[in-house]
Amino acid sequence: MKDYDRGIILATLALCLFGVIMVFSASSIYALKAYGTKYYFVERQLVYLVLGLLAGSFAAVINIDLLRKYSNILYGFIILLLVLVFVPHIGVVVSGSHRWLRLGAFTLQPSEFAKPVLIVLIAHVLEEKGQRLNNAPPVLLPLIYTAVVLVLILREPDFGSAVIITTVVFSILYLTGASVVSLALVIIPVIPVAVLLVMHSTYRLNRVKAFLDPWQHAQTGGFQIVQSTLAYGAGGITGVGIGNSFEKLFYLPEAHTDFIFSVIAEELGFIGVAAVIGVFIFLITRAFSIAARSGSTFTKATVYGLTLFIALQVIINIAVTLGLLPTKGLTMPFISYGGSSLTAELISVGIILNLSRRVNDGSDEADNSRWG
Amino acid sequence: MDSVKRIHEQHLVRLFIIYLCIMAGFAVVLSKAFYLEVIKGRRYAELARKQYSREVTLLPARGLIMDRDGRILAQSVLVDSFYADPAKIKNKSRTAIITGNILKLNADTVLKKLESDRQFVWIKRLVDPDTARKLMQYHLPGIYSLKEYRRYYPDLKLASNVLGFVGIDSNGLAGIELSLNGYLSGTPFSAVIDVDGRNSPIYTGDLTDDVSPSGDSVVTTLDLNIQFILQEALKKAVAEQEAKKGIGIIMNPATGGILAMASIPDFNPNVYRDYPMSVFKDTAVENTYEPGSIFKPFVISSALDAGVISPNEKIFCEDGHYKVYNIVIKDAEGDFNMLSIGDILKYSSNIGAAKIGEKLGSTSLYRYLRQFGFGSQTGIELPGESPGILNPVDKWSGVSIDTIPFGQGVSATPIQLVTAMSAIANGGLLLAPRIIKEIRKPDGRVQTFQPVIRRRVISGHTARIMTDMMIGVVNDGGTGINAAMNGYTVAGKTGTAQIPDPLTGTYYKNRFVASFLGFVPAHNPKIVMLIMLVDPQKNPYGGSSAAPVFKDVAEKVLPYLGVPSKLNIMAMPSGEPSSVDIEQAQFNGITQTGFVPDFAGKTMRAVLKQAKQAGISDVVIKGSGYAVDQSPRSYTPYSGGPVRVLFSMKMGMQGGRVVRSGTRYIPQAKKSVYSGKRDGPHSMKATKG
Repeated sequence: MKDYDRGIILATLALCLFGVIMVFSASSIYALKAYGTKYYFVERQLVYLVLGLLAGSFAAVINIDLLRKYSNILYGFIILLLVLVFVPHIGVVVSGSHRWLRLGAFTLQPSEFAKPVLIVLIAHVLEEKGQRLNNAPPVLLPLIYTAVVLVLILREPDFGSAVIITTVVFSILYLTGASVVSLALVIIPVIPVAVLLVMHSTYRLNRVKAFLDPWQHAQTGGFQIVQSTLAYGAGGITGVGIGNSFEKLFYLPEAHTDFIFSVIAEELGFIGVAAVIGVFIFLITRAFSIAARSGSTFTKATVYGLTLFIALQVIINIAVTLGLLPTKGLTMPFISYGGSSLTAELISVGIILNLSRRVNDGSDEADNSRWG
Repeated sequence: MDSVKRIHEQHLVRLFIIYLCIMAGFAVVLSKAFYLEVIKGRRYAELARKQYSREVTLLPARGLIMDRDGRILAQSVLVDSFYADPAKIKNKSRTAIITGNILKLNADTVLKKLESDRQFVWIKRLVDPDTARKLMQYHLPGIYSLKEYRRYYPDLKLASNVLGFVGIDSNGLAGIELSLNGYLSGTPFSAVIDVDGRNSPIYTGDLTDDVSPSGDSVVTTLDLNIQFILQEALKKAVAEQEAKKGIGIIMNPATGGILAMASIPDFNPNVYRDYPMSVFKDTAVENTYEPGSIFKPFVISSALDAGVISPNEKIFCEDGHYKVYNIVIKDAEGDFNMLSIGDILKYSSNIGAAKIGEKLGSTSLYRYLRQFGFGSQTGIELPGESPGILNPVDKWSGVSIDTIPFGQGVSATPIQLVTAMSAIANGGLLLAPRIIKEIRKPDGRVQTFQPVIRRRVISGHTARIMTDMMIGVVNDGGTGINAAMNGYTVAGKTGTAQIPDPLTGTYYKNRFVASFLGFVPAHNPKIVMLIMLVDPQKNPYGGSSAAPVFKDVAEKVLPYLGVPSKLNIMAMPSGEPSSVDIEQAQFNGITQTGFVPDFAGKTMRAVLKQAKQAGISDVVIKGSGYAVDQSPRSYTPYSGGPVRVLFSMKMGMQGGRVVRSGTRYIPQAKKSVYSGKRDGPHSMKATKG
């Protein structure tokens, strides 16, 4: 137990509990009007948190070699789930997106779980193949695994997740020593594809337009951004106080999910915003230092990958609420309402903790061949 | 191992680059957050504030209209008004069909409103509660409601022509609602309310503490029960006689207060839109009529007061045919030779009246009629009052001096006729007719409207003679015998006026205004009443169609007012407190400075006290008992010098005085009936009720 990284544990728990409070604050009025009880969302979030903590603890204690061994099976299972979202009656369609699977009273978002599974599989491949090929990390195989996931996620469509997955995978390859030339050769043809995808889809185009001039499109796509901006402004330095947000009263759409950070900004002000960002920076720095100290390619790749997912999602989510990026449909890790994302994130943290124990007690050094 | 070292260094560089990128990302969002929250914070906070707040102009609750005892005639209740926010409606045609169906509106009209690009469109305002509930059950997105006040008249048609009605936005459109709109509507006030993103007001609790201001309430002089009696009787008479219209007014001659005022056809002001504009006219003040024979008492009392005729004089009535210039005046009731003044009135001789007019002369006649209030507005607090037509003498034709005395070539409003008759009834004083008793401010202040004496028109002596003559009209052989009552002496005059044809300038052959104008009890009048039936098809004569209505109404109203009957003087009168008496008592207490007070009927002590209050030090007293005569006349301007008052033990009626005790009023007169004692008003004692 003492070998687990306590800082990461504390930071994660703090963010999760803070999230429960903010979900309650942001959703209570909406829940009251829509479901007749103001506890509708916060009750569910607490259930997700318990499930997520159990799953995360499990990920923290299992033998990591088992995970590596079965990572390809897990990957196959995730691909199956990503296909199932398109099957009528099993998949749930929400405003044109096929992102969810029906699971009794709850829904499951397979793409959230695809992220850690893909990272573990790629890390496994990098370790295995990297050793055999001596100093030349393989680029092609991880990219093929990634491409399959990307194609399915873009079909949903979930452009935001696709962008993040692409960025994280390239970053892992870069961090584990792939040659910049080979990465560039892959990236350069991808950019026009991405641009085409944006131009081709009206909703994406509208989001971009709204992003470029939110006040002009205030009644349509820019509405969220305008309201979010007003939330920041209303918050000021110290905020209006927890529970006192005006924006959550049907001005700011999705106040308890994608735009929860706007409510934080309004209720807790710049001080609250800086504090939350500070906790995330602490968490990311701790995780990076574990990866840096590790001598295992698998450990490095996994921890970098999982941490980068969290980091990118935090930055992009905040950037969207600030109007710096077009709306994406990305949640705020640990804080936003949502069972799949919270569980997947806690599993990711669990894996990071699992590896932190190995780094700290030295068992990670065994296959130290490349990292001196 | 060199390669291992190289790889390690490369890794650290790359890690540093990635870490730097992440930190740069955080730096960017943090600076933008700083920019929005700290640097631009004020401006955005203000914009946000603007968005949450709506400044709305609210109308205060419209004040109540009450009868003289505080019974509610008109009140405002909160109902729903529906509006749409078209941008929030997805299925517009379905929404239009449902709302159109429930609110009874054309679905296409509603759809057109829903397709507008405004954020706020009224769908229907002031919807009744049942309908509103039905629509709300649908929870249609984009359709919202606001609470607004709607005017409600609990007694439906009762006094509708006096009360009038209210349009949208608390705008009085007729009757008292219009004439006192400034008081009733109150001042619009603006309030800032917070609304959520769905435009619904956010109630934060402290909103309910806001005292919603309201308009002033109006207490009228009307009595709900008397109004009901009059209006029903009039409605019945109009139906029976197949008349075009009916007008009835009951006034307290001592104060000028109007107890009831009815017009038929009436209407239900709650649904005024269902009626044609024409019924909204308050015919009692807006329409003028040639009065016909009910005008004769004013002419005869003028001639008596001027001294050009004496009560016992006889006048040659030309055996029913009197040729003046190009016209022949005829009498309807028979061909008369010599008639006394009283009989001229009793048999309603036009020729006699014409000759009295000639004796008085046009200048005097004109002056007296003006004194009675004809040809000018009475100033009653109702909209659209007509002054009637009384031309100045230089515009009179050669026969005007002969026709005006029997009510042709002159026109008057019903309210003018009642007000003028009240002057005869109360001993010669013209009062301002009043329909407003009090205005009650929301803060509890009360503005009371006191009776106003305009002037003395005829002497008390003339008034008494005139009263006796009008009693004759309602006696055997008189034209007004149908108004005679058991137990009460009625004084009055019938009228059967031809209706002028505006096209030919002559009169319709068989269209009449049948009327009766009188007061009761004759010697101590409590009510003056006019009954007027316009163009009755069945029976055009005032004596046979209008006089019975007077009697029917008076038979119910007098006991209600507690006026003792001669037949049953020991019987307990109606237990209802009599507001007429209260007003009278208050009125008698008024001492108008600069005027000689009315001492009639008062004890010596009371006279001296009242004189002192009026600033009169020199009072010459003669006789003992109660004041019966005085000089100068009451309510004439006092310009110093001695005031002589004659007292007599024989002074008659002076009942009806009341005292106030706690919340109940006890008519003092009733007490004196039992005890056989008669107390002067100054010595009245408060009695516990």
